[in-house]
Amino acid sequence: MVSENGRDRFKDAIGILADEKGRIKERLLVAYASQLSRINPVEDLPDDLASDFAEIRFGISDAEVPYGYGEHASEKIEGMTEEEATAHAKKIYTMFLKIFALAPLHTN
Amino acid sequence: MEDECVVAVYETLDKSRKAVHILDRAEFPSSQVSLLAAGQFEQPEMTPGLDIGDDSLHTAAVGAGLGGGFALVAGIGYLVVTGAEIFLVGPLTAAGAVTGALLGSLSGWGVHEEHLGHYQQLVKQGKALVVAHGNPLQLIQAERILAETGVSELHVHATTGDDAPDIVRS
Repeated sequence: MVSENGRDRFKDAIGILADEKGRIKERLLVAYASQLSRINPVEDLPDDLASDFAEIRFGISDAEVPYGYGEHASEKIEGMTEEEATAHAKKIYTMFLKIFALAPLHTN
Repeated sequence: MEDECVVAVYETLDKSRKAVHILDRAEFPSSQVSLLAAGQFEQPEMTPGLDIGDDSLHTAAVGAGLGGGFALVAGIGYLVVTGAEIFLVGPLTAAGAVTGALLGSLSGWGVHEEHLGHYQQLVKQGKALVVAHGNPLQLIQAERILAETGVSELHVHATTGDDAPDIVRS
């Protein structure tokens, strides 16, 4: 079961992706740093969502990943293309839907 | 419980402003966040004759990025923003008093004297500092958040007792 912190962090991350000013890379940084960085997968997420979250987390910030590039979100996002950042935002959205058991909308 | 602090060092003012904005979006209390930077800033409006702590600065302070809002004013030597209060210092000769006051606060939040000197040097070199103070639980969050924001240095300072040395984790 997803903890209250896990639900709140994803809800707020989606809100930031939607209403934060700036391009997708800037919005992704604010959403990740202010919200998703504060999720503890062991405490906040069930096992079946932990791997999804690991993919999101280590795609955006791999400083603490063994054999990663050692980059935190600011550096990693700066090196992304807009398309890559958009793809990460979509993963966050997809996980948000799973957490809140919502049916996905048809998106391109 | 004594307040402790996290000090984040940035190469540019812009990065530090973004970090403060991110703390704000994380709902970290803006009254517990300070930004310290030095240098020449550009702003079309120049308000002459401002004194330290001038209340008119609060209404004049427009700008993006900080929870309390701040203005970048041309020709100012140091910019110090603490929570909702804004100090704009004109002559560089007067800057020392204001930065000294903030750095005095850092001392109360567990920063040892040798580290204060280091931070003063960084500011003189043109770096920007973001300081978040609070209880240990708040600081765990602040450290985690700020680590993602492009810091060049990140330090946690804690005081465990009157005579205990600072605990510094970098």
